[in-house]
Amino acid sequence: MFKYIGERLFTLIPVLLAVSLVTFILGSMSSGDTARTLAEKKYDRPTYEQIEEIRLEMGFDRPVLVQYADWFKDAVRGNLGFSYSNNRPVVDQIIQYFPKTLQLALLALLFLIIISFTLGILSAVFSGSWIDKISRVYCFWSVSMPEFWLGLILLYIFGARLGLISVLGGSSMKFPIIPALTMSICSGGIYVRLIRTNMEEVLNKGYIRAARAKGLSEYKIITKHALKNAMLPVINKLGIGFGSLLAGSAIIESIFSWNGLGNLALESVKLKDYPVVQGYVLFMAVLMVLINLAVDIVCGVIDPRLKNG
Amino acid sequence: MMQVKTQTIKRLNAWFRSYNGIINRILTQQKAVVFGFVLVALIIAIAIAASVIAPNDPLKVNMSMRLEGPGSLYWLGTDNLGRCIASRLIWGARMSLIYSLCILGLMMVISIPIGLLSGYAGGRIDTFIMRVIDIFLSLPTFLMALAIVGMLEPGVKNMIIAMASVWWAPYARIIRGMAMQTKQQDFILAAKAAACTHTQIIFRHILRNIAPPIIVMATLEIGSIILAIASFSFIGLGAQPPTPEWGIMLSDSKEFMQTQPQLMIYPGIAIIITVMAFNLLGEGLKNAIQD
Repeated sequence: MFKYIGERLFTLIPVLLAVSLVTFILGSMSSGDTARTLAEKKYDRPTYEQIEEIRLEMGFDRPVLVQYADWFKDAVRGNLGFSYSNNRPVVDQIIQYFPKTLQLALLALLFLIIISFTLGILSAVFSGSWIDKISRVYCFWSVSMPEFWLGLILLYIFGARLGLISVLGGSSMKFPIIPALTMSICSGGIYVRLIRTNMEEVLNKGYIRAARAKGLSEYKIITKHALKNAMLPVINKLGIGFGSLLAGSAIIESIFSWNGLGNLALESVKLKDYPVVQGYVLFMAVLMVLINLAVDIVCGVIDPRLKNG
Repeated sequence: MMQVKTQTIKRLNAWFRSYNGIINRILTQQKAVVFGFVLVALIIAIAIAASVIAPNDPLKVNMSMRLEGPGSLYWLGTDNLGRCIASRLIWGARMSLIYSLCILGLMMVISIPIGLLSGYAGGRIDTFIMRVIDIFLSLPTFLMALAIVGMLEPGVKNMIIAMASVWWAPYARIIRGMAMQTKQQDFILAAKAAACTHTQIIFRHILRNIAPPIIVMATLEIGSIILAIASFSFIGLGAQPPTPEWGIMLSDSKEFMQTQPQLMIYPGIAIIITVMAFNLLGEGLKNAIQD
């Protein structure tokens, strides 16, 4: 087991190298002159000498790979550089903004589980009924709808019409219920479908017939026998889904002015604050690899067949 | 000359015969797929004929006619700058299709050679390419695309490059699998015995045989690409104003949410219908090929 975890953690290294190298090279290739931008911030109207001075000070005159090696040395020690816009360490900013994103993603995951299990199980059990049809329509709509559009519509309904949340921003919300709802509604379709197919498959198995013949109640058959066996691929998918909820919250956060990491990253992209963007992408890449690993371990614990197979 | 012609006709016939079956199967399937097929055809027609159908110039600003309601001149009314919403929606279809085809094309240009090489060559080359693909598969792709566009300059060109360069990996893997399967078939052995070069085998024999599933795969993907394009334009990283693009229209409408909610309804519905049409068609094609 430990060997397996070690091996998986080892695969993190090339991923991190690739992400950091790509973002770093892109940052240095970018159209604007970072030294000039920084100088403008410092001196308002910088002279040529002042720009060059800052260029030397920040080391922008050196070859990209040398700069990368320097950055890498710091990164290994947990220093991802400083934000260009407010000079704060990137790591501090990530730590400060991450809880909000985590809160949003966890709440979205909760809604996602409620929606997908209710619709998925009901549509499998009552196959062909009206609830099955509704869930099928929902599946199709949810994958065809832009997430940010649903966000705008919900913002209009709950913000502009009902006045429950603030339209113009300001974190008046204590819990990001509406943003989380938006995210879960949009990604729910895939899971409803997955649960439905898995449940149907299991419900047609011999041991379900045996359980029925034994005279067990239908409720017990579904919850105890069918659901447990249909769960495994769903847990696996949900784990990965949690990763994408964490990483994919940027646009929703910005629509609802939720001060999370995604919103920070979008703002930093607009301000060309490269160290923050780089830190964000790197952080999310690590998080996603770790989540995938955790999911695999959990699935291995739940179903020992996977470990041996 | 004559010979070339008959050969072309023969080839076309063969293609038609093999596709006839698929099309027949699509049409005999559920109504939903036919619906998707018709919708996609309609959307493509609208996109091609945008300049003829659109009642007004999508870029023409008319400040005296701001935020007008629907009428005979402006079918769906005007936006905050007095531009015709209907015309902008129609041109938006063209923009979305062009952008998504560019992304798809670039993705295929990257993934087909890599996948074919990996599957056909096998051995160390295959192992190496698969490692690279694995790295790309574990990246947060949407974020990477976002970072790439943000660090270069926001705009259509960079958006296309960014999306294609982070999304090619799963396709390369699928194509590799198909190439490996095809490689082991007897007609490849025959081609080798007939002294075909590797390039001939790869492009003539393998690629042509796996072309239909690749096309299906591409169709299935257009929906999500259109969604991604709209998202990028919405946050200001994709197409730039005043381009008539659905994502831009939505981001313009955000300011007028309180007073003019219809401004954000129309582009959203346009996106949903288009994405749904492509998804329906893709699902149908997939089922037809799998049977």
